[in-house]
Amino acid sequence: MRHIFVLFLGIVFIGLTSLGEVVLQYWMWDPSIKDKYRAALDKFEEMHPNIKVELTAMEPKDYWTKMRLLARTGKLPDVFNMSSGFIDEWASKGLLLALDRFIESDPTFDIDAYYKRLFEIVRYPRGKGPIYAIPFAWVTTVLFFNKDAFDEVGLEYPNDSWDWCDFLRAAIKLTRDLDGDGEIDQWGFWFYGRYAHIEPWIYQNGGRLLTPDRRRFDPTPEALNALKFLTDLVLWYKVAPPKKAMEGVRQQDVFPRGLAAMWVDGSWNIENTRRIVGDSFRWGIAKVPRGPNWEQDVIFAWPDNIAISVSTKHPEEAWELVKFLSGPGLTIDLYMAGKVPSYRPLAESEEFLERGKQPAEKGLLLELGKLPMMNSFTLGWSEWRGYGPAAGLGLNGAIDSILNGEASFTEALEKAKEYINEVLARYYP
Amino acid sequence: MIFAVIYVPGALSVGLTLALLLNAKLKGIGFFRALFFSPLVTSSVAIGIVWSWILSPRFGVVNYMLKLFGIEGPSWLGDPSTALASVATVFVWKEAGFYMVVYLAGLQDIPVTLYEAAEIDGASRWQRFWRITFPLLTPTTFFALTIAMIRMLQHFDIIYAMTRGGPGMASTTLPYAIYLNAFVFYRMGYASAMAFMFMLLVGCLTFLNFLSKRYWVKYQY
Repeated sequence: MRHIFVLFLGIVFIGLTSLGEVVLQYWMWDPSIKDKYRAALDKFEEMHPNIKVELTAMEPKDYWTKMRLLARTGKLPDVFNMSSGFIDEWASKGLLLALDRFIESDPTFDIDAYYKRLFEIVRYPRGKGPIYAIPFAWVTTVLFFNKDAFDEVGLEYPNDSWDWCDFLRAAIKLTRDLDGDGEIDQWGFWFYGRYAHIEPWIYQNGGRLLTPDRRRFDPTPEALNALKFLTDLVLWYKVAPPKKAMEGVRQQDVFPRGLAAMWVDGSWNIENTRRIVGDSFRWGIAKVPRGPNWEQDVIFAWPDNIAISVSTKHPEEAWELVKFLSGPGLTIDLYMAGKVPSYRPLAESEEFLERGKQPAEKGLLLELGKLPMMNSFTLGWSEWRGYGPAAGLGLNGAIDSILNGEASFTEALEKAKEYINEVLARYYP
Repeated sequence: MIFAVIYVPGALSVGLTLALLLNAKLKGIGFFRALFFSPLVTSSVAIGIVWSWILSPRFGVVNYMLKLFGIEGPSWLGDPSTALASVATVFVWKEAGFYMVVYLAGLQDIPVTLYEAAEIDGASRWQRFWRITFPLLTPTTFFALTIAMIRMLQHFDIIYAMTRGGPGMASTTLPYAIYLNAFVFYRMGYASAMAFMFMLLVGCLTFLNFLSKRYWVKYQY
C-alpha cells in the first residue's frame, strides 16, 4: 500500500513539474558548433529548470530555405538566428516579435553592455522603429596585408591614416613577377564585384549606393569615385588581376595563398586565412584606406542576431533564452575567429585577442566597433546586389564585366542602375 | 540553346563512340566500362570543383597544355563567350557514360549473323557500321535522344557548382533561372510559372520526338 502511495505521489509530482515545463525550439545556422551550443543550453536549462530547449542546427544555405517554408506555414521555431540582411523583410511581414517591451522592463538586461550602434540595424524601419532582434555577434571589413611581402620591398605597414595614394603606391610596389617568367606572381591587391570588397571603399570615401530612404539605387559621386578608383586598379594601374584571371581559385584563398599581398574582405575570413597561411608568412589587418572625400572613419558592418517568432506561445521564456544567447551565456569558443561578440564583456576579454595567433592586430576590431556602421541591405538585396548563387547579376555582375573588359564603366553602371531600380521598385513600389 | 546544341549531339556521339570501342571482347573490358561510367555516378558538385580547377586560366591543366604549344588559353569559365560551352562540355563528359551503357545494350542486341553475312559479301568496316550497326541502333538512338532532350534541361547542379550562372548572365539557363527565382529571390509565383512553361517545353520536345519516330527509327531486322 505504501509503495503504491509513493508511486502515486511520484506520478503527481512528475505531472505537476511537466505541466509547468516549457519547451522552446531554437534554430541556428552553424552545425559545426552544435555540441558546444548544446552545452551552453544545458547550462541555461540548469538556470531555468522549467524551460527545456530543443536545438536544431542547419547549414546556412539550407537554413533560409527551410525557415521561409516554416514562416509560410506559420510553424516558425520560438527562437532563431536572424541575419541582418533579412530583418527588414521579416519585420515588414510581421514574423518577428518586437522586443522593446522586454528591453525596457527587464532590469537584468543592460543594453549598454552591448555595442550600441548594432541596435540601429535591428530596428525596422531602420534606425527608428522597434527592435526586432538582439545582436549576438557582428562583423566588419578590414584590409588584410601580407607583412612579409611589405618587408621584402621595404614598405611600412598600413596605418590608420592611410589614404588611396598610400595604398596605390604600396600596391604598385607589391605587384611583382617573382620568378622572372614575365607573369605577375604576386598582385598588389585582389578584389572583384563582391559586396564586402567594394562597399567599405565607398563608405570610407563618404559615399553611399542608395538614396537616403534606401528605396532606390542612386550612387553618389563619392561612391562612383570609389568604384572608378577600384576598377582602375585593374584596368589602368594593373596592380590587381581581373576576376576571370582568378577563376578556379576560391576568392577567399587568393590572399592566403600569397597570390595577392593586400585584400579587403570581412573579418570572418580571419579563420580561413589563419588555416591556409599557417606559418608560411606573417600577415596583419588594418583599417580600410580613406578616400579623397573622407570626412570620418565609418565601417561597413552588420550584426548576426537572434529573434523571437511572433507566433511563440512562450514569449517570456523565449526572451530569457534570447538574453542568454545574445552573449551573457556564451563563451569565446562559440565565435568563429573574426566574428566579434556584440556583448562587450565577452568581446573585450583577454581571450578574444588570442595573443600568439595571427593577426597580432585583432584588437583593431574592437576599436572599429565604436565607429558608425553602414551597409546597403534592403529587401531583395541578393537580387540587386548580385550575391551567392546570383553573383553574376546586379552590381556584382556589372563591376565584374568592367574588370573583365567586357563593358565600359559608364555603360555597365547605367545598365546596372536600370536593373537594380527595377528590382527595388518591385519591393518598394 | 548553346547548351542543348553541344549537349545532345555531344553526349550521343561520345556515348556511341565509347560503346563501339568498349564492345570488343577483351580482357579487363569491364574495368574500362566502369571507368567511363563512373563520372555519371560522381556528385556534380565534386565534378564542378575539379573541372573548375582543370579549366582555371592560370593554374589549370588545360591552359598549361595549350601553353606548351604556345597557345594562350582563355579563362574558360570566366569569359562569357566560352563559359556556357565549357560547362556543357563538362556535362557531356559526365553523362556520356550513361549513353555508352544504353548503346552497349543496343549493340549486343544486333545479331552477329548479319555481320558475318556482310563480311562474306565483302563489306568494309565502314560499310558495316553505316549499313548494319547504325540503322539497327535507331531504336536505341531514339531512346537515348528522348532521354538526352530531357536531360539537357536538367543541368542545374553543374551550373551551380561551376559558374553560378555567371559571368554576368552568360550561363544563366532556364533551370538555373527557375532556381534563382524560387529559392534565392523567393518569387515563388514567377518561378512556378517558369517551371510550368518549362514542363510544356519538355513535353513538346518529347512529343515531337515521338512524332518523328516513324521516319527514321527502324525496328525490323
